[in-house]
Amino acid sequence: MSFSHGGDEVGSLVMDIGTLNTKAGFAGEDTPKAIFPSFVGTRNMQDKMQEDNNEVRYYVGHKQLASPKDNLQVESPFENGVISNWDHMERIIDHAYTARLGVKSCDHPILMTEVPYQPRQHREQMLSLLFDKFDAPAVFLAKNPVLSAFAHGKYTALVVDSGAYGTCVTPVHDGYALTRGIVRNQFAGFSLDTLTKQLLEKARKGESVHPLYRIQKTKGKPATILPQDSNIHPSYVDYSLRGVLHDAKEQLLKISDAPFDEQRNKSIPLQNYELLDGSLVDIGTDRFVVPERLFASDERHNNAQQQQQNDEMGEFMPHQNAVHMLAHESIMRCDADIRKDLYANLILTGGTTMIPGFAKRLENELQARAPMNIKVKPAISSAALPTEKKYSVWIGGSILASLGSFQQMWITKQEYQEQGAAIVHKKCP
Amino acid sequence: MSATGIAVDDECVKVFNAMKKEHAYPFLLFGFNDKLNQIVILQKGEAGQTFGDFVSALPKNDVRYGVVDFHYSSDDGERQKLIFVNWAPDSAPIKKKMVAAGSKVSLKDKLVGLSFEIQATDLSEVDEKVIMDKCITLSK
Repeated sequence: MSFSHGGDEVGSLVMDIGTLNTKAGFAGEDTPKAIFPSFVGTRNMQDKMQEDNNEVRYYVGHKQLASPKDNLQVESPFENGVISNWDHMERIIDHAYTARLGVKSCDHPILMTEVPYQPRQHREQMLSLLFDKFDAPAVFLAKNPVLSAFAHGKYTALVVDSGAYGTCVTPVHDGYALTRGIVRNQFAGFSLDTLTKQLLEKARKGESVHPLYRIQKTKGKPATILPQDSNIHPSYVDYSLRGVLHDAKEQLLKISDAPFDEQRNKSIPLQNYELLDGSLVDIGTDRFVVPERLFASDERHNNAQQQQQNDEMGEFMPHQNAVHMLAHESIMRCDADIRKDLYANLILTGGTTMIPGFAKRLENELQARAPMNIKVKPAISSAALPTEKKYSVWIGGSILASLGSFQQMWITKQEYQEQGAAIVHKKCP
Repeated sequence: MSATGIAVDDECVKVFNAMKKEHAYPFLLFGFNDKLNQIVILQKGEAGQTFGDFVSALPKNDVRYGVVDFHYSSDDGERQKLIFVNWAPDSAPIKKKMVAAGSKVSLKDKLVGLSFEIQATDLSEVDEKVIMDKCITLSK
């Protein structure tokens, strides 16, 4: 939208705040200008002179979080995949506006993406945050799976989003996320981080994996490992480890086309891998065993005794690890006459779906559970796109917010002031 | 209202109604104007053109909405249906795919009397036999 400001036309902004990274940039551009961790560091600065004067200092963004500081605690604004700490959320948004995009929030309309299971009250709270705290001139909230589907040219699709915190499956029909069909779990990238760490430690005969901050590299020399420092908060160690594990996951993990039988694959060749600290390991079947957990359909977890939390929107099935069972469940919750279209239009998005073999395995497992006359079509995956195009959610938002015709879609500040935050449910269905 | 806010040119509805009432065109192709703010008619099939001509008219690298006056024979004799086709091949620019998917409901809601729609990304999805099977299934 072009809001006139002091005679200059200004463009809209697009922010996609995921559980791992925040993508922020200008509408109409092909890639987000800023990508930074969705984490906030906090630190109590005790004033030695005045004991009652406890100042908390905050750290956001790669640079501020790059080096460890005594008692620097790293926290996520999310819990169970939904926003739980609004102060942290505000700091992340502020970092995007001020430090990364270098703009005034009052000058630019903002399209914010959201998870499809965002509780109603959180949607209103986000609207209030953007209008009241950031003084945005206009706001729109767009649902991730709808943007992903549109960006792939689909208005009806089954969108499987497996990111850092969890996997969420959303049926999209005629451009709307079907609330009753949304199902999600809490098993994805973060869980694989933990398993990959165990895998590497096993291969290193019990020696622990060093977090990034302890690896010191000088050109032409082998990396040295800094000693452990007990003043470093465990949450910072975890944060810093993720960089090391991310690389290992990308290089090593593979998903088998069919359920992986470790015994029968004992003889697969070992893969040599160099950790970021320069040490070498050989990994065998564990490359397949670890991501196999994404498709681990444990029947015990499907019985009704397991506690299932029902979100206001979408069902949270924390004990259901298997991606294909979520997808199957999601389809079964939809009307019979659209199921065929969902099977034929699978869209994969999120970092975890980029593990080689993910798409094929999901297709195979879904096909095995689909009715006889149904054909599961190969999934469209953002993984197949060049690196700069893989942010399909952000790009979808970028295109939408740059359209002249989108002008009438925004919630303006005036509408918000006149009708209150509940307007979000009307204008951003 | 569609997600994009893109409007439909009145001419689209007029020509579609002529197709429905008088079978004036074997097919119609709709798309976007250059400003990308309106859905307009891009091509009207001429008398005598076939379903094959409709498929040939679908561009490899661009999006279209199509309506086909589809004739077929079933056990009950000669039948006819109006079918909506959303054409968005993978090779189309992402911006066009996004706009087409987000604006489809605007057009479809205005075209009254369609039998069914097809969301197609490649030629296998607009195969004459596939469409005929769907027509026959729906008539049962």
